[in-house]
Amino acid sequence: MDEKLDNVITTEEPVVNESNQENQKEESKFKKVLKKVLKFLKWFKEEFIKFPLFIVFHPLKGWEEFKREKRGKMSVAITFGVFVAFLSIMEYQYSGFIVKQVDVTELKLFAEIAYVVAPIALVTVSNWSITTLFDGKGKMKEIFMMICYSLFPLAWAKFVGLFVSNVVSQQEQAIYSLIQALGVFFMCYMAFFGFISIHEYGLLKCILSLIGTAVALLVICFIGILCFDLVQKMYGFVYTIYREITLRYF
Amino acid sequence: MKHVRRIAIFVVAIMLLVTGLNFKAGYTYSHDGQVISSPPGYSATIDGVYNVLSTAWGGKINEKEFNSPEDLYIYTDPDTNEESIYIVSSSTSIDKDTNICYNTLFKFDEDLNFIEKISQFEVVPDRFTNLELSKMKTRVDSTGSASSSPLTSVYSYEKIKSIKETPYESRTDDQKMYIKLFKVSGVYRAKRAARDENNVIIENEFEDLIFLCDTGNSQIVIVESDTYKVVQVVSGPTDAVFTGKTFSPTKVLTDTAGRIYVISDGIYEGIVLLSNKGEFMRFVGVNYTTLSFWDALWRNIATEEQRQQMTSILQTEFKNFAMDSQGFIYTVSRPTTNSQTGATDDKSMIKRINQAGKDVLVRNGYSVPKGDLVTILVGNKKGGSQFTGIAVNDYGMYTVVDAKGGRLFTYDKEGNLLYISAGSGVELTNLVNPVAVSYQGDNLLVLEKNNRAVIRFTPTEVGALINKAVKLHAIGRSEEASEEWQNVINQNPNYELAYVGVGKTYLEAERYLDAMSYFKTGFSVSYYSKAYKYYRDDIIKTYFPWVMSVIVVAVLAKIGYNVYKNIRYKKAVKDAGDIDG
Repeated sequence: MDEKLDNVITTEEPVVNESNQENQKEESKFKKVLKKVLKFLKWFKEEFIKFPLFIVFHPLKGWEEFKREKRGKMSVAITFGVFVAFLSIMEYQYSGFIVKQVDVTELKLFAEIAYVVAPIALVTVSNWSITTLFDGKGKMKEIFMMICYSLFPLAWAKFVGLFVSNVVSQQEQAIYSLIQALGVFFMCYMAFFGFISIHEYGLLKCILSLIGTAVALLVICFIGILCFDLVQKMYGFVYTIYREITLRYF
Repeated sequence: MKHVRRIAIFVVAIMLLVTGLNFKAGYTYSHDGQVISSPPGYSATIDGVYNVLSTAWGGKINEKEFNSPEDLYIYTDPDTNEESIYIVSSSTSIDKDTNICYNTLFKFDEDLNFIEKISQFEVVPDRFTNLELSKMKTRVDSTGSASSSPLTSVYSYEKIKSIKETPYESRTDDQKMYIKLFKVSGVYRAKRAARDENNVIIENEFEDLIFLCDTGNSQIVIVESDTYKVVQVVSGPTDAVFTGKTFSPTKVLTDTAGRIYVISDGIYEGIVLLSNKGEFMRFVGVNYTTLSFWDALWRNIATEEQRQQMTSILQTEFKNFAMDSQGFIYTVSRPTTNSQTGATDDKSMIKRINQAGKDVLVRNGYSVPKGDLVTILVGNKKGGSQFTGIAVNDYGMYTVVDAKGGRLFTYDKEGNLLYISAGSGVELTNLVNPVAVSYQGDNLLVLEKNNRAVIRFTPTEVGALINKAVKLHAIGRSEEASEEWQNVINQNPNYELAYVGVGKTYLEAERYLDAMSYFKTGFSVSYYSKAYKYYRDDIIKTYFPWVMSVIVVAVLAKIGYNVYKNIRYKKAVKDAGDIDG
């Protein structure tokens, strides 16, 4: 009996212990995940909402921290870009009929993405190429991150606008327009102070550099279109030769 | 080779057939102004073409008399509902064989059977003073070329005196005086209240008059509708605003008060409004031109010399008009063009002018009523539509006829484009140079100047449905209208306006979700918004009490909890104090 009991106890006890241990392990795993999630959420709130908001309301100090204390993060910047691209696609699909009368079948995914990515890339490159001449202190990476961070108000405006567009009537459409306009305004506001801080410019020099950026942008576009045309012509030439050869000899 | 030729012929035949079919199929404009295929609302068969060869006219009209038809007017007698159709045909030169310059008024019955034609209108001199007679003009075509001349130079005062002395019954043909029209371009018939010599209206007495725009003689000849004797001649206004301008009336109509509205060539100030006596009152419905911002700025900066070199922007004159049953005047005109920049403003080519002279046309359609939206940019047919005629029916529908494309555009009273019919071509039923259009019941009569014919357009199957739906909606039977719109959708699912029509009925039936879906398909943002507002109100009405009471309860609970906690805390403090004490 004792043996049996012992056996029972010995057989039972480890099982219980094991399951307890497993439970404990599972619990700790769950807790770990929860902790991680909470930590992520906290990080998200800090990086994606608090810091950009801080920049909006304290632009000079904010961008100073952004640059000097390396508070700006590449991952966050890219996320903002992706977020805006995603939202513009969502806008196409889910905006209210009163606000946007678009044909969903005419949605061009890559075009929508390009409308977000291309301006960012163009402004970054042209601004960098101008400010290196005007001895601006910003690196290309910083310029890119700064522009992406400036998308923060636009992203929020688009996000809120998406919901608002579905609950306004035609007379209240102004609310939607206001939200969109605020988004664009604060984006420009952030970017402007961003340019000042990143390149350590004065006001006048910043404006001059921005005009220069616009000119550079046009030049880049011009050369781009020129190249495109040239490549197309070359392709056309090669293709004609290919057709000629295939039709004649094969 | 034979094969190749056969195949080529076959392909060409197929292409012709396909293009021919496309042409017949008609088109309309979608909500975003794109050309989409859509059946026409009106069509004409060869049976509907009336010209000098048709049996209805019985060979009684000379080809030369009907050489250049200018205007068509359908008069419906208010008492008997009998319709008579008037057409005027003009000529500017003398025919070499007959030595006559043909300017004739034709009268037809409602089936366009010929009744009579009148080429000269008798003036009974006893009815007029010498001053009035001296102002009248008549065409003289015996001298080899047609010209306009005062009546008193054709018939001398002595002759007039001798005519007056002879009793009317015993006058010989030689003793009768006539006004001959010259370049006649407009006809109109209306009843107006008779007046005594003090210009006071005589009760229940009406004059039944035909108004003729005698453009070449610069006057409007008003004759009795049965005897064709001249009652009154309206010569050019002597008002100061007319100095240096010739009065060449092209179209005329009158309102219930007997006032005369005249469109005159070369007068850009608007429609000339004359009193029943023919005195100038004012201009109505001015075609304003507006300067664009840059134009205005540029004109401000420019010096006086520069400004003189700039081309002046002329207001365009009206081309034709019609009056609806409520007394509104519908007009068509050319777009105002800035000849310097080439910019045109074609948004108010069609106007609806109220008693105060303001344009009150409703333009709530997908696009402004202006005919063709997509136009050819080069060649001799380039540019937008050029309207020459307009017709209004009792349900606020109006049809304009475009001389450029030979098309009929029909709009409803909200400014929606209902359908586009007809087209130019070489067939007799095509419109090459249409000059007038008029509703005859549900049919349309179009006067075709190039083919010298009157063409009767009858509604097509879908056109009849649309007409019926618009009519039912206009008289407030919207449920039946909705059924008709549904029929229209069954016939032509591309017809966007029909979805709006069905949606309106759902809106009235308070089925807002259905209405919203139909308005969305019909791309009507304003109606969608209306329906959505009601829908949103409904949602708020059903859920607001619940949401609000939950919030109120939550707030009350929170306050209660706080109060309870406070009491507990105070009690605890008190207890603790008691222990301490």
